[in-house]
Amino acid sequence: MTLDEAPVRNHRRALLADTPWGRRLKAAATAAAIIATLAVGSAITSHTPDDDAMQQPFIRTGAIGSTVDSRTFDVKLLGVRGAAQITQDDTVHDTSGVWILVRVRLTAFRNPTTVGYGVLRDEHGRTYRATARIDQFLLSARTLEPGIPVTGELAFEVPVSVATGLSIRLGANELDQRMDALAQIRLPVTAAQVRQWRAEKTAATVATAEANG
Amino acid sequence: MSGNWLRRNRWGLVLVVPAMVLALALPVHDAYGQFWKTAPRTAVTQGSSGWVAYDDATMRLTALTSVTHLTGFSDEAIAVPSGLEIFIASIEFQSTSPSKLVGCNMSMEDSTGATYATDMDIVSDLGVDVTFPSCTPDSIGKPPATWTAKVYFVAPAGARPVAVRIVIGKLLPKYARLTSR
Repeated sequence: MTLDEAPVRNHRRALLADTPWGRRLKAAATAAAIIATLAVGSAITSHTPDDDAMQQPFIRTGAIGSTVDSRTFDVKLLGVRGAAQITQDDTVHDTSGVWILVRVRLTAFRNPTTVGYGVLRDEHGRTYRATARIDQFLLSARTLEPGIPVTGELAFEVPVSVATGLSIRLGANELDQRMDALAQIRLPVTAAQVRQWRAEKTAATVATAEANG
Repeated sequence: MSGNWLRRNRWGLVLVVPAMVLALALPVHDAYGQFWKTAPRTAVTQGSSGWVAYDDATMRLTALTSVTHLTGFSDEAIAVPSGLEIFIASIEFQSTSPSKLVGCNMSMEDSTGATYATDMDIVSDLGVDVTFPSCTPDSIGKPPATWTAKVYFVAPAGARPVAVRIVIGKLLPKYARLTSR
């Protein structure tokens, strides 16, 4: 196109826009542009994570005996046992499910911290909070000092049917785990162990927290 | 979209860019400012007098020492468990309105920057006769001119403490950093 042709083309466009067909064409183009914009927007929002997905906690996994980093402290699963009854301060607590007692060692990194969130998670994603029927010496009330491991047991009351597929999850914040790190460790529990724990007549004493130095 | 439309709206289009930057940056800046105030980040240190002026009070660290034995409720000696080191800090305060120090938070800082709380759990588990850590005077009524708080800190063996921090929540991110002279 030469410079001389440009005014002619613009003149033709102006003439076309002034005709009924030209106006219809312009309206159709505008509608198509709006529909395309909405379609692209919808595609973007449907293929990107929503707020819930984006704010999920960061799960750090490990096995029994390994140390798992949970951002402000680390966790080592030392063992797991179970019982049909537990006792604390001379009071016995029974259950229609099974008590799971998880022995862990917790160590803060650089600043004092507490472990506010402690749950067992089953294979269907259901969570069971550490029981409030007894004092939990490792949760919330206990301040962890940097470099000083604290060992103790956490007690959970769960249905028998889920006891063989559980993982423990621990985090710093009791109420809000969004975008925080959570340590998750699978509990090595077999069906035979659960049957044995259910049959045990003696109430298990929950271990208190102890700083190990 | 014709050339005329672009020409008519050119300044508006140019201004859209900084307007969008401002619209995004201001909430981020505000949120970051709020986050900044949630933790002790700005140390207020001692002047030539050796005292740290923090809010309406002045304070100084007179001793920060490691102890090998502690005293129980019946004055019996209690050994420090292996792997742990217990420090006792003595902090002097002066203030005409000590009530403003209520709810202060004290911590010990070591040479690596790690901090330790005034640990009541470990010390009381040992059976040590320990009082609740506080920045305010024990006496009721007219406050003394100067009073001293004795505070326990527990750290792993080998830790080298360098300072004691005092935080009053409403003054964050400022905190008093007390060092031995």
